[in-house]
Amino acid sequence: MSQTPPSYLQEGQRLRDWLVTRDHKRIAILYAVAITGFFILGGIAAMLIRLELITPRGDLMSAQLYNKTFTFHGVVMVWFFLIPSIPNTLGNFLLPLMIGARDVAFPRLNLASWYIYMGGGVFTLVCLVAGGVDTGWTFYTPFSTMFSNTHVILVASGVFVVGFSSILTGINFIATIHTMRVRGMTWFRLPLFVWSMYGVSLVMVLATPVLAMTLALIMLERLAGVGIFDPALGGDPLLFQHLFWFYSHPAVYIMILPSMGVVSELITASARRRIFGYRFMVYSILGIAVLGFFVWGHHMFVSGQSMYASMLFSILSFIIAVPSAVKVFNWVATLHKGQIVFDAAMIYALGFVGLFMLGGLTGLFLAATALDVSLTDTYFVVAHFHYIMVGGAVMAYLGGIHFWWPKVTGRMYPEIWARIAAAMMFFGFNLTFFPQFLLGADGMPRRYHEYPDRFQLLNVLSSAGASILAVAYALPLCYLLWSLRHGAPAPDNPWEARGLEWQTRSPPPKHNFVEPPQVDRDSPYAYEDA
Amino acid sequence: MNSATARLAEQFDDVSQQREASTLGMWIFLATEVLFFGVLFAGYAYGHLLHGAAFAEAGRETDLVLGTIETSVLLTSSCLVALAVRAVQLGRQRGAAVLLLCTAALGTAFLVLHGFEYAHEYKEGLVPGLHWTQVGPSAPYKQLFYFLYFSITGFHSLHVSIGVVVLCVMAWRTMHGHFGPSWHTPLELSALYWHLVDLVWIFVFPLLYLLGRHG
Amino acid sequence: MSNVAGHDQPQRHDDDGPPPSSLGGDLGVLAALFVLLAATIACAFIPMGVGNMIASLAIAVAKALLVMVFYMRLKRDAPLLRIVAATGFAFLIVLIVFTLADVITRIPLLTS
Repeated sequence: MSQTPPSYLQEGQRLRDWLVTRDHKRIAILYAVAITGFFILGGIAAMLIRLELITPRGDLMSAQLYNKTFTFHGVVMVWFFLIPSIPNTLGNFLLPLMIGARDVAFPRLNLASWYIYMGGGVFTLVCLVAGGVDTGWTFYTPFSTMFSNTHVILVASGVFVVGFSSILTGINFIATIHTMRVRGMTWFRLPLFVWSMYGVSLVMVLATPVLAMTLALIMLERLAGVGIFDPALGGDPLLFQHLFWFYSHPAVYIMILPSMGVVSELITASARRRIFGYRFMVYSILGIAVLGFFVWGHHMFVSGQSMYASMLFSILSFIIAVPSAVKVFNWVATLHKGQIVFDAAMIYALGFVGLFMLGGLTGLFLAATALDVSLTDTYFVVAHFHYIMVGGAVMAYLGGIHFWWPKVTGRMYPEIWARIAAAMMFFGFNLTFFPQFLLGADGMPRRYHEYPDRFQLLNVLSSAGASILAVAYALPLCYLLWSLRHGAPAPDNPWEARGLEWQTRSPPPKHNFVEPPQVDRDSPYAYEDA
Repeated sequence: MNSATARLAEQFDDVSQQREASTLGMWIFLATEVLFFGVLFAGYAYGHLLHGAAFAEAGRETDLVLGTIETSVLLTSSCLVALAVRAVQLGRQRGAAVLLLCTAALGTAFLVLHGFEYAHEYKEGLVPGLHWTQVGPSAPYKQLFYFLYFSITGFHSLHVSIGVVVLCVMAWRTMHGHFGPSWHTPLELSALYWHLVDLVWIFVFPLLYLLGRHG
Repeated sequence: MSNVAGHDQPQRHDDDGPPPSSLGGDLGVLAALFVLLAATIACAFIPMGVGNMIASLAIAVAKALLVMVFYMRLKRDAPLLRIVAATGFAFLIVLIVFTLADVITRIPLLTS
């Protein structure tokens, strides 16, 4: 008759206990609070952009302030929100639970990752606000090295620091998955979310160091007045783009692979079906992670890159669409003959599938070099990546937050409000970003604070959609926080889902399991086949 | 002093799992360092490909004697740290601590020699951004070479410095009996880090010191 | 490698790493490294055109392999570590090769 241990939330409730915790679940919450803050700040920048773009004149802000605003938006959203979002919140919380472990391999390193993230993030934020940077999040040379009069070195060093948080997380997750799976949890019994954490970690550890050194080279060139991107020395500004995109293209797979993992969990649980083609889903995750390193030149078709390199990168960019498509087909096949209930998780998951598909297909347009000549640096590109990052990654993130909310907090959220918010988000998102495909195809360039009059109608629609989207994002913030106090207490397995995390209490005790969890030898998704 | 037992962290089931995870983690970190330094090698490859003659000219002016001594120092230090790990595995803590201190001393010697190199290059006006006095048609491309030279050796020296500190800490811990034949993982990991420092230099040496010598 | 959750197995104290290396082996590797160092310096003074760079890099790779396989114990440690080491170098090669592929194949703009 063992004493039921207290939940991880109850063990040590002073602030200090949280700030020196080694518990992966508490570190996940520390991250979640931080990234929510960054999301709000990045969202405010987005609102300012959309406000400016309601009118064709640049009347809200000067050109340089506008440049600083979209740079703020990009830097904050990419590095301080999207990249850590799922891996460091849901990943940190769920990975040990899903493999039946007590914690990650290196808990102190995990906490260090958070502190490095916070340090770099807050520092960069201060620099962005106190004068900022106007180069765009892409820091292209020679503008960033020679001509910009803004805090390039400071902001770049902040991002440099945050990169190490990413690297340490990747190291932690890979070591954890390789060495700490419970008895019976073989590789091909792992939930797809765990596979996606593995894939994302591979990309994090291989790509991020390249970004770090590339940013260092920018800083050195600004400091020394000379550098390898300087044509006067026989250097090449395009060399920066190669080095930058070698990281930043895989970075977009850092942002989408975890979402795909979440969606596999949401769809199987909501439809109560095992995933269609489990092994192909695994191979696709790994394929996307690896192939993602071979396509970066598609960002450089019009930069002066050689025609032959462009052809190579174009073909490879078409090829990488294949594993993504396989995943979409398999999700849809999983739904076939499933019990589809339009609960919040399913709305988010279906929203993801549709929006990711649109975003991915428009990527093919951009991968075609001939089309890209007209579409590059227009709003078509902006719409393309927002469909994937926001329509895809953010919706999957929120879907995951809802799905595992009972496990993390021990509370149920109000389902009605969750469905309303998810539906509103889907509608608001499309209203915001679909017009941007049309604007881009019609020739509206990105990163300009003013535009020709004929683009105004679509811009107004887009800004209107953005305000709906803002409300839709505010809703979960409100009702989720509300549920912490007033939500119904959650049972151990409210969704009757498979997965080892559902075999322990909601919320779990500090060491995750009181008794070793039972691994299903059949499949991680052994739901009743309909 | 042979019975040092592992401090088993609570997330692991046994010492073997702990070592397996720690070693894997360290090797992944080393892979990230390969890519970190690799960017500079990519820059070098670019410069050498497009401006080979100027790079060769610039390469002739690095100090081959000092470079060779530095390489010898690092190779020897790699051997010593490997022998230190071996000594701990054989229960010879005292010998191991001495070997570790010698390794750290060699690392320090490397840094001192580098300091001489840098001072010499400053005097010769070969420091881009700080003191560059070269003239002639190939001077800009030579400046590219020296930008890479100082970037690569600068980051490398930073890593050597960190390694020296780590080795001293490990020497202290070994002296105080923290490690023994059945457990010495932190020492193994520190040795791996030091070997990485040596590995980077193995590639740096021919690229920066042996270029254009036959001209 | 799967492990038992919980502590129902007697704890093993041995960390299961590779056994101690041999003194002769370690010193032998050092001797080989110095021989290669001498070789690479000697080659540098022989004009071989592009062969100089190839020889330099080949010898560097040989030295690196000696350090990794013997001093870093890749030969006697878990196979996974060899894959990790290889992967780091492989992706660096991708970075360099694809970037140079662009640089080498650029055609000068036609100026009218």
